[in-house]
Amino acid sequence: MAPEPSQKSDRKVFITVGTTNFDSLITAVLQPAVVDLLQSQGYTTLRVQYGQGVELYQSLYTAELEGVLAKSSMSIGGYAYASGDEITNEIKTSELIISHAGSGTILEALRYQKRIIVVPNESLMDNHQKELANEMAKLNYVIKGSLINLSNSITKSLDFGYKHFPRKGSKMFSEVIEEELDHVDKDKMYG
Amino acid sequence: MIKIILAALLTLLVLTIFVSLRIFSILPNRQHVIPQTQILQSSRIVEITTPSKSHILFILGSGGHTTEMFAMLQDISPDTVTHRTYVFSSGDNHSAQKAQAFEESLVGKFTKRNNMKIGYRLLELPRARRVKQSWLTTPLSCLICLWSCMDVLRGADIVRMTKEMKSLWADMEFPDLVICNGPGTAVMVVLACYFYKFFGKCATRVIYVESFARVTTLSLSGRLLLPLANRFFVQWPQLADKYPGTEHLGFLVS
Repeated sequence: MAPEPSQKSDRKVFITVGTTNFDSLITAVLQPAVVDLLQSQGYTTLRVQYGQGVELYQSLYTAELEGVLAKSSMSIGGYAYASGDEITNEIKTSELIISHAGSGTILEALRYQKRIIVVPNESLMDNHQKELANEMAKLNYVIKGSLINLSNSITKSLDFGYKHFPRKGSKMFSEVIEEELDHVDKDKMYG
Repeated sequence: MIKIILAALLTLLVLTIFVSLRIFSILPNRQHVIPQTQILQSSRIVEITTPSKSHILFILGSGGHTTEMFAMLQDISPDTVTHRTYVFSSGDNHSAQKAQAFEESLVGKFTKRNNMKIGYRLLELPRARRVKQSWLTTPLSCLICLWSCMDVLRGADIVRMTKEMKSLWADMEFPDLVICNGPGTAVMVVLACYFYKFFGKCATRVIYVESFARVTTLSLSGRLLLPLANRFFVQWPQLADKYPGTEHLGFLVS
């Protein structure tokens, strides 16, 4: 893992594929044109969690990309995997998250009210991730991006009206548990 | 000779009827789902009458399931759930660590010192079927898994506890509630649970929460546990419309 930049004006974009194999997302983000766009929006740091795609990540670091990064001395760092706490910290300190459609990353990003672009992996056999991304996008909790026009989604994310994700679920669940425990108590008495 | 066969058949018939009736009587009746407003009202009454001791068994699964489980449990009070058991599949250290971290987060939340001493059980279960395991050996590994589930439920590990711990867990072997959210292990634990329910050993109720990631279809575990769970929650309204008997309160993982 690259050392954590410490300056206050640091504006970070976090790109994550989780534990899946999603090389095409890494490729789509690290295009010079896309990086240039992120730069023009004022982001200063790119952090890429690339999973198994280490060789790909290195191969994408071309002279052209280096040239684009040098324009505003944007820093870029990548790593294969990180622990849950490290990922949480990464999300907390980022401004924009570009992620695969894993429910864990989506929930975490929304917990910290981060702008998130979710890109479903079309090559996966089961399409639950796609369904989840679609529904979450319909409710304006996330932006659903695609590999072909990621730039559009990045532009959209700037002034998109992200809806506030509710945070009362665990409270409701605690109530359910208390209610059920009461039920059990009665069952013991009469049953 | 015919008489003996007839007698045997009759016995078999009576036995079948008895067993079916017993199973029918322990199966949950979820036809009338309580509207949300009534749930909120009744929970207000619960606060006064919540029992002083209660035991919940939490079934942890692979990464995503465990993360969702602890997200749902964020607001739980350890004084409401005095006895806690966590089970995880063998080799799933991630879930075991999450459970330990969750227990550490509870430490400051006890209002009764006695409850803090009870501690928790964190138990490993063999997998019903390992990834890529041959289907020939699967029935055997399922049986082994089921056996371990029964050990967990009847508290077979409690005898190995220290004397003080043993007294704190006495008569609390069987959980009051089983909470699960999808892993395959859950099916085995609930089956073991029904075995004990059949013989009237426990009155355990089962709460199942379908994963947040399931928008339009239930998972395999969900479909298997639909008739066995006392409360079955889905996190998307589309699912509640599609499967009668399920409840939708919103995103429980939020």
